[in-house]
Amino acid sequence: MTPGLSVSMAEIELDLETGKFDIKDMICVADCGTVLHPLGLGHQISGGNVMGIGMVMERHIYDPKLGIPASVGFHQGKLPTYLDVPVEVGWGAVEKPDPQNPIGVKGVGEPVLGSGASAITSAIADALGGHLFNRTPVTPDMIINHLAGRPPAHKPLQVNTV
Amino acid sequence: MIIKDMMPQFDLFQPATLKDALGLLDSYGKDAWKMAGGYDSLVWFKERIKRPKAVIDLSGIAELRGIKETADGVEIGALTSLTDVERNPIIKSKYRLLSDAVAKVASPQIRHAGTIGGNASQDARCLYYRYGLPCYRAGGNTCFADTPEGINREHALFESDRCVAVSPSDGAPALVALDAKFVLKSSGGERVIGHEEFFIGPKVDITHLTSTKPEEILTAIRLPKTWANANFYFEKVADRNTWDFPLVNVAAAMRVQNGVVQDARIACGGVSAVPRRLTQVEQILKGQQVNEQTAKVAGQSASRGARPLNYNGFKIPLMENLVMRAVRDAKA
Repeated sequence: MTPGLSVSMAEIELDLETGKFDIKDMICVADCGTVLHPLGLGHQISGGNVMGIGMVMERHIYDPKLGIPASVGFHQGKLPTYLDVPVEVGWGAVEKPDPQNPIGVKGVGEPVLGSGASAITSAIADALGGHLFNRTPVTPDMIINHLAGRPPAHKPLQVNTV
Repeated sequence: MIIKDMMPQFDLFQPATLKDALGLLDSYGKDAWKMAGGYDSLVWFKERIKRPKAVIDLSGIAELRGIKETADGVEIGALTSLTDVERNPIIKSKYRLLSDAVAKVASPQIRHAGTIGGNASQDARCLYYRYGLPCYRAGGNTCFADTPEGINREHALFESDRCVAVSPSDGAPALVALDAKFVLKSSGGERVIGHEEFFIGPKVDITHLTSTKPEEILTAIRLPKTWANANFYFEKVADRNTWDFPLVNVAAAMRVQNGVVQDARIACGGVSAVPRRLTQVEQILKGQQVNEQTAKVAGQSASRGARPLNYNGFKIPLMENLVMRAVRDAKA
């Protein structure tokens, strides 16, 4: 089964004094071939986009000297809560059947995760006038450091970056 | 592999009166642990890090609950739940700062069971301390967070004498801004202390954030009516919009007449081991007009003396912005 594609668009309001963002509107359209169950597709898309929002907020950190994890519970791992996600994620499907498949379906669970995360990071970059952090997570302290002109606390990524 | 699911054994006592509880504390001394809502205590027990011999559950003592108005202000029982404090009509109408502050604590479920006394007395959330490592706060002689590679994003900027953990409470800065007094009872008597004596930093006692002695119980918090119906502002900035401890929060109470500040009390949490009362900012504000310029100057002077660690430098501009907002946007 070929993987599908998806496009997410998000509109956020970024508070320049505290570095916190509020998602005003979010929409995702998936190219997943024939739609078998519209409501199920809606759940997949909105759930995947919420996971994408989580990728922008999560912290997978460990102490490099002692090797102990710094995010050991839900309270430290920073998963998105009910107040961090938009009330509704609009969804749609292109509905062009996939020619390489007797039913014309494509998987849609994974692409929506990536598109959700990149929609939020792109929206934050747009709010900051084009500055790209080029990594997830993008947390309030990174945004505040950038706006105040302070050097970033995290070291630059060594691989997989432009 | 160490299984971390079961609490180690302890004797559980659930006294029905304050006198019984104080008697138990006298007999068990340092082996006793006082538990109110349990949201700080049970985590320690389940992680098998703190192992008291006796746990004294105070939630059955009815005389420690309730909010009543007195001649000098308001007296809040220490075991009153955070939801009750938030919704109480006296607090909401006259001391709205405390109501706004406790409304932001954790999540609704935790607010229903958590108590105002527990919120003020809660222990530090440094991840190394909570992991059980033998740091200064745990009785050892080293700090794992204040190192060149330590994860100290949520740690202190000010007055960090060896230990850099912060006060994680949202209610505490509001209590400081309202000039709260803390009533501590023991079987020997009672003492009423102000916030400067109640909240202590590593210089006074590096293993505790509050000065409650082992044989004492915090029974009530008194708010004097000096700051009733002042101009208030509370804001908390955290990673998520609910459940999280604050990165930085600010609580401000100001008396403003004809647009000129007569008197102010501003406290910031999450930047030092105690809720930091910004006395310098308060001095600068006295007699000034409330406008953008004053707010900016106040904000910039709030962070004087900060010593950033490798990951928590962002707290300096964040603290400045929050104090600026407090001065600019405080309303009655």
